[in-house]
Amino acid sequence: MALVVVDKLSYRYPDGRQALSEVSFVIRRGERIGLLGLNGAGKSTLLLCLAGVLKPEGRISVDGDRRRTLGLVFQDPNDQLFMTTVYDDVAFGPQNLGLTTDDVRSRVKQALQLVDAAGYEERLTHHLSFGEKKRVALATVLAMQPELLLLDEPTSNLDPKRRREFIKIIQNTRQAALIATHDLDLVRQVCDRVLILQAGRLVVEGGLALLDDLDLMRRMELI
Amino acid sequence: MVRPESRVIAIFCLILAVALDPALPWWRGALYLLYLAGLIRLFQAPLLRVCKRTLLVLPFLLVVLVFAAWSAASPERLFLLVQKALLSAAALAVLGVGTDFPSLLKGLHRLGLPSMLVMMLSFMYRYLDLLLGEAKRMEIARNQRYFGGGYLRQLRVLGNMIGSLFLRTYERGERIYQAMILRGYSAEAKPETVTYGLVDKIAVFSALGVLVFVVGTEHLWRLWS
Ligand SMILES: Nc1ncnc2c1ncn2[C@@H]1O[C@H](COP(=O)(O)OP(=O)(O)O)[C@@H](O)[C@H]1O
Ligand SMILES: [Mg+2]
Repeated sequence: MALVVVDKLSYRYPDGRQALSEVSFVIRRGERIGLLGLNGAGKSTLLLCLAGVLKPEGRISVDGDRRRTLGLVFQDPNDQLFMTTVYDDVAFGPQNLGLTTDDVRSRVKQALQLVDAAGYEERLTHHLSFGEKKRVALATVLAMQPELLLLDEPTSNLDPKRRREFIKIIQNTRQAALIATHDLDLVRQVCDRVLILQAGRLVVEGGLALLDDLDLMRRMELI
Repeated sequence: MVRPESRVIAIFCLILAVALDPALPWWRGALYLLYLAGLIRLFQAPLLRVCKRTLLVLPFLLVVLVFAAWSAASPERLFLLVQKALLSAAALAVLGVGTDFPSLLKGLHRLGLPSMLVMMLSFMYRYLDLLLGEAKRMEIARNQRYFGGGYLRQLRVLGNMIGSLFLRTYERGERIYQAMILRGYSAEAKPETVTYGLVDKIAVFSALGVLVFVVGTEHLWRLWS
């Protein structure tokens, strides 16, 4: 059963730049997909379209209420974390879902545990290190318990150790995920399938074996 | 712990009492100080930091005094002014030192400050660092490639820097708003409900007591007799 069906998706920015052209694919429940592509290939744009922030041409059908089913984590954690304390930020989504205070508390606790940030509740957001911000940013979306995570370059700018830890955290989540990245290790360790975007077009789609096709990877300029 | 909204009410009452006090006889000054000491204890505010914070008012006080001296106010009135200013500053310091800004905002929200205003203030607090950091980095980046001279052109460069800082801030605002919408934001966030303990009641009612006492003995009493 497909969770998300994307059919002939195109998007043009108001300044005239064509960021996506006729992209079509399917995401099944529980499936994890690596969305590969160079900078400017249109990965972020695709995630924003799926999340409903941008209004593209073409069709996106989601099995369920889109806002509750999809959870987007922005690339820059400073965009994702806008409240003053970690608790308030992680609680923001669940509160808007209309949960009781107790339920919100337990959601926050659980989400922070999932990202190795248990006990961070009272910390001030702007005093967190970059790695901590990245993890808490993921927690803000995990706390809403979406069925599909849309992660925009989750491991970018992390040092090797933090990056490994972050990959572990993503492995431990149970959701389906669409992960925009050019971190091939991340894709190898987390994903079941890859999509490769090139200048706004979906040019390759297939299993992890694609990553070992050096010829292809070189042509896609990903290695 | 005393809730921030109870602290706000207590401190506000105290400042109001001090401001409404017409003569501030020594025994009432002592009463205020004693009461403030009680609040420091109740709020668990570190004394040393309260003192430091209080002294921050001195420069402003100096300016006011210079101007007041010009206007030929009597020395007694000036002394009264100094006393009141120091007491109020100390009261605010007790509030500021013992309560961090985010929980203060939450308290004000529960006291009825509109959600929109609370959001704006909290964004200011959250992003001020980032904005200053960005401005700082831009300045460094410029100084790396600027070796003095060409002042008129520098003015244009400065204009550009401010412009791009504005654009970056604007676009960040846009992305933050998207992030809020994605997590179900709908303008009217209600404050979390909380319970109030004995310390809250002590703080609020004692402060009301002080206020009523001062206003009662000094103003109402005189009006009546
Ligand atoms: N807000 C915007 N306005 C105009 N063009 C944009 C905007 N954001 C991105 N683009 C352009 O759209 C294309 C795709 O960008 P993006 O989706 O951010 O790529 P990626 O995330 O893969 O690096 C790029 O050419 C980029 O310059
Ligand atoms: Mg991107």
